[in-house]
Amino acid sequence: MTPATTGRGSLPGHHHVTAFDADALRAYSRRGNFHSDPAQAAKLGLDGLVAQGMQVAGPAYGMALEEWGEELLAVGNMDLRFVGMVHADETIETTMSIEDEQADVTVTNTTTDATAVVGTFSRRPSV
Amino acid sequence: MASSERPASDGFTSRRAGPPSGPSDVRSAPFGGATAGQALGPAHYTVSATANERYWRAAGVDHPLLQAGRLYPPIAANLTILLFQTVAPRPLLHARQQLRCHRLGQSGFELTVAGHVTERFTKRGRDYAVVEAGIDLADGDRLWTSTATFCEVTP
Repeated sequence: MTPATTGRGSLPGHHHVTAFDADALRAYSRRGNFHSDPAQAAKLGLDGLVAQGMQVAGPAYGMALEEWGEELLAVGNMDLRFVGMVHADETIETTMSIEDEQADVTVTNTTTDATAVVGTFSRRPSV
Repeated sequence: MASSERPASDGFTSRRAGPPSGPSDVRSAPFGGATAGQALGPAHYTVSATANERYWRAAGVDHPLLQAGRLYPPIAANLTILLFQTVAPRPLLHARQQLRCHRLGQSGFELTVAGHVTERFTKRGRDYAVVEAGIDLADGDRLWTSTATFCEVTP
């Protein structure tokens, strides 16, 4: 169920390539919907299983977690827009630029060349 | 609204409102007829250690904090969807997710999820709903605040 990942880079330009197969999509979703059941996806006119937006953003979350650690879990924020679909077995490329308290992320579906997710992660400064 | 306690197929144990009910003209309206200001929940979910780890790994995240049983905050999005689906019966597309973490959470403890519809709008001919949900620990402390924007999947 763990998605295949290659090409993790290092600062300053984080870079991550991931492919979510159908098993990974099913692991992240309830049964019987268009994320996990091909028949349900077809009924809605979709071209196969569709990854949940937050699953597509998972590698980006992982990058922010590597950078900020437990602080991201405790006081982190995120604001993500899901602007394009990612289907099972399509490949995504996640790029993130981190500067101090904010990380800007773009996820591109490299199978379709369309942007899938844009947004930011941030951590509140300690007081 | 009927309440039930049952294992959900996503690995959460749920003690939540049952499926949407009401007049068919309301259920067939976008988002089950939910309007801005409508209260949602409370619903109760327990994210098991197994489910928590499954979400971490399926998202491609591998980190020592996972081994420590820390709750994966993006699960807040799933809980918000489950909360909204107590009134909105049709499949939802997730357009935007905002999340604020207030403290660390640990798997295996019951969470209370409650919120309301903050906005309904139409954009390019599609109906959208914005839902804000507070996810609280058993002692009442706020764990996460989740704001999600949805539209319906239309064939």
